[in-house]
Amino acid sequence: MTTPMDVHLFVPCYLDQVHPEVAMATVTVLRRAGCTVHYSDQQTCCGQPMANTGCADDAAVLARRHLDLFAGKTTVCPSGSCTSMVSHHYHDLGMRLSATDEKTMHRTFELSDFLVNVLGVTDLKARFPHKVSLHQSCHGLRELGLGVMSERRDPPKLGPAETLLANVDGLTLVVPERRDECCGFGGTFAVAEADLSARMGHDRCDQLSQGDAEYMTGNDQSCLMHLDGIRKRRGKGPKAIHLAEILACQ
Amino acid sequence: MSVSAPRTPQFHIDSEKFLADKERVGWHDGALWHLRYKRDLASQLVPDWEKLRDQAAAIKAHVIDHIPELLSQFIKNAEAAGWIVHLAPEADDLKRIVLDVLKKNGVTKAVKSKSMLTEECGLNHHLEANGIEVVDTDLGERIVQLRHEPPSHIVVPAIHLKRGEIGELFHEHLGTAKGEDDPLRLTRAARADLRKRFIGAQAGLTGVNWAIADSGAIMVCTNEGNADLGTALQPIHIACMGVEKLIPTAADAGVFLRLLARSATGQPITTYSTHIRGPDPTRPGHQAHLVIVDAGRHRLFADDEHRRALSCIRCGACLNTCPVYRRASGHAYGTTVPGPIGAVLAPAMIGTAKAKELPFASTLCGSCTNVCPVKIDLHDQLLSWRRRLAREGHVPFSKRFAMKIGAQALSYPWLFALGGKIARTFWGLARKGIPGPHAGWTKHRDLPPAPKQSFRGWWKSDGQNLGNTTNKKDQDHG
Amino acid sequence: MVDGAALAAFSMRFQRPVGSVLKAHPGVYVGPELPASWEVFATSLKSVGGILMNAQPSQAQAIQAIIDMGRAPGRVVASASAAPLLTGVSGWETARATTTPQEWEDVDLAIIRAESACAENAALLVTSSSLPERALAFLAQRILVLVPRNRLIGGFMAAQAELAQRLAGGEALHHATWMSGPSKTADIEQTLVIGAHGVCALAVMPI
Repeated sequence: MTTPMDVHLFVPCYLDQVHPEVAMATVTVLRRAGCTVHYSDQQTCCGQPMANTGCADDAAVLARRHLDLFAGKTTVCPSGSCTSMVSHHYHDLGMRLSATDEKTMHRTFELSDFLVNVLGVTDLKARFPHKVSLHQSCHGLRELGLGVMSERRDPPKLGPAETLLANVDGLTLVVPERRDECCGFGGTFAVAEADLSARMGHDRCDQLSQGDAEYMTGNDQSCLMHLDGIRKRRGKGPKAIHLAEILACQ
Repeated sequence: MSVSAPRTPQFHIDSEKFLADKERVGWHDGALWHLRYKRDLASQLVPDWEKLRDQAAAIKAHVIDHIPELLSQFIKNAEAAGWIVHLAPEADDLKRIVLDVLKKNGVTKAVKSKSMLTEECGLNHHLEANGIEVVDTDLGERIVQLRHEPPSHIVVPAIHLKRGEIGELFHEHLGTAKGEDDPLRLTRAARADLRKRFIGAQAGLTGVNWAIADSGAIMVCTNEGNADLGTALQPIHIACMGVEKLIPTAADAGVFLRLLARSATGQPITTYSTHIRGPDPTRPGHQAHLVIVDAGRHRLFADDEHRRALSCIRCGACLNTCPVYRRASGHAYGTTVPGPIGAVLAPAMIGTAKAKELPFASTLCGSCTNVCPVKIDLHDQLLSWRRRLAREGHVPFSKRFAMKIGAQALSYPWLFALGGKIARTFWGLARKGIPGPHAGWTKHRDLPPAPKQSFRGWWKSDGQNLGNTTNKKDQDHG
Repeated sequence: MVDGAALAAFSMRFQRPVGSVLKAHPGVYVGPELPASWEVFATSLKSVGGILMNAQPSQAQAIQAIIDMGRAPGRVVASASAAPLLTGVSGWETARATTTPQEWEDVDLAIIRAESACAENAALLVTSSSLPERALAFLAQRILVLVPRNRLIGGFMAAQAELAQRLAGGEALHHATWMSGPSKTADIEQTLVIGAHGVCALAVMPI
């Protein structure tokens, strides 16, 4: 942390418009970790909704914009699935990727991964005196490898989110039963297969309520938005709060 | 007696039907999760689990690249051992060949152990239509056969049913006491009935887990012992195998045997893992037939992006772990093999037009990819099928149109910002229900409250100039 | 014999295009060496529903006790390879060579001899060489498997490799089965039931 690091913020489109507080908290956390934060309002969307619907050409248009805008920069994003879209799935779209593009993809990090594994920061002097259950979002976990996947028999290690939460003053971390079960969001799946998605969300809410958790957190607001929507409709369960928001609290 | 030919899947409609019975969905999810849990425990006891998966994947990749060579080596050794080998390029050929063998030998009663291949080809139906009684001997398959419905799972075919329903079925067909629903007593009743059928049958049909090229032996694995009772007693054995079941040596089978049952049910190995080579020399006149089937596999083989799905060993682990399968049930997929692997196989096997819904029946959570013992990248395969479906015009116009408009609007930051502003203005009105194509969201969920300004607005007015902001998590009035 | 032209046409469907890079076989997988321990075997056997019996106070007495445990008037039939191991034991008959294996339908207890056992998964190997009377092992209600104490193999990779050599190496084996515990099913509501179609109980006695 001795040399300040320039980071470029990649704010997912829905976060920008619907959950600005998560992006704001991300700025706070990065600055506290000693970074100089840059943001370009020319950014819009990484193309994930199109890509996951199979519309690769439409996704490629946005992917091109994204890669040109962030060309060669160290980019940080408070969402595992949007990060994974850029770092892992731009290969799938049939676009020509230059060496700079590959570098940009390679230099795109999810927030907790960046803090712990790039900066080496594990304690953000945050205080959040609550019981919190952690929802490991699928793409952050299984595509970016931000934690131990319950299906695999890899050597045990602590994921960056767990590492950061362990150092939050007053926080009690609750590990839910089925610790990395999907919440059922799945992008357009949440709308196209609404009943299935909602049932999965209900079940996940139940799991995340265990141990009297007051909050459920994670590194993907899309999952949290879905879970919180269900939680509010049914009127019980822990409130959703993004990891960045917890880390920003003092 | 049997199920009719496969129909066009209608996942959305059929999954909603299953979901309507909330209590059953919870129970179904729990029963399948239990299998996943046992799989986790079993794999924890294997120190080389991940290496074993790597090895299995590499053997399968080798096999897929060398089918012609392995096939001729296998056939040469199999014929030398006395197998009568038949080739079935299409499902109809399989049905014709099996019927011919049975007719020629005057068979009227046959027993069959579990074979997803014959299920897929509609063999039972064909034989029954031609006057041959075929009894499925796997308990789960027997249950769904008596109910005239297809299996809902490839390892536990009757997992969608409760003991009470099975009790009623057995009361009707096997004469168990009314109201009897004890699994032990129901299983014993089936045992008694099927034992008579094993003894009375003139032919035994089986599937094949692996066909070993360097020895001409096949392997059949069961827990119930039905493949052994269904081959050791009858004068004729007919084994049916998909061509992808070839492996070079029996030593390779060791790798798969260590993975199969652990992945499927959490057992260290299937109870009976049997190698059979040709006719039984202790029973003069015993015939051993082997039907090697393509039935659409070459279409998957020809597909560079999805060929590796031929590696599947039908353990069912991806079904058990799939959060969608657990809540939709196998019948919603409308294909012989449901779940993630079913959704990957179906577009190649039954065509993209018919299977167009299935690759979308997933959240792409990736758990299937992680449990797969032969490391098929299932969730990425689903995604690549979605791209193919979109290219071929099988994604609904409304979805494609929305994505096109979205991509265009999102190409202009000012348009995106304006759209966001308008949406936030009307947001409050829509909290409990938004109209149009996104109504699915508010059917079950509240919208989050509309923020006063977007992040880009905040950055412009405050954010870029501020030092550390403090967080306030109190604005949410949930 | 399969028609050559038909085979060629069939194979053509699965021929990679000329010039494709074909994946080589990864080589024989040995895996970690696992201990050839009867203790490990016992744990594995217990997990699959089998029972380990000790040959005490003597082999004959222990086997006699198992026979006498049966609900009369069941038949006790020993395979030809197991029969020589039953000196001093009464109440059993040797399986006759038969072309109608259905005649073992009423057997209560089968006594057979396995060629080897594997600690990793409690699997016991029987083949057409040790058990030409194959159906006996499946029609009986209960089974006692005698296995030479010095034929325990630790890991299954090694166990199967041994069998693979026999199969490929010209030994005229018609069948070879790894048996791990008694037959079982969980097809009704995931409830484990021991005793599906094969034996309802399996005991192993190292000899």
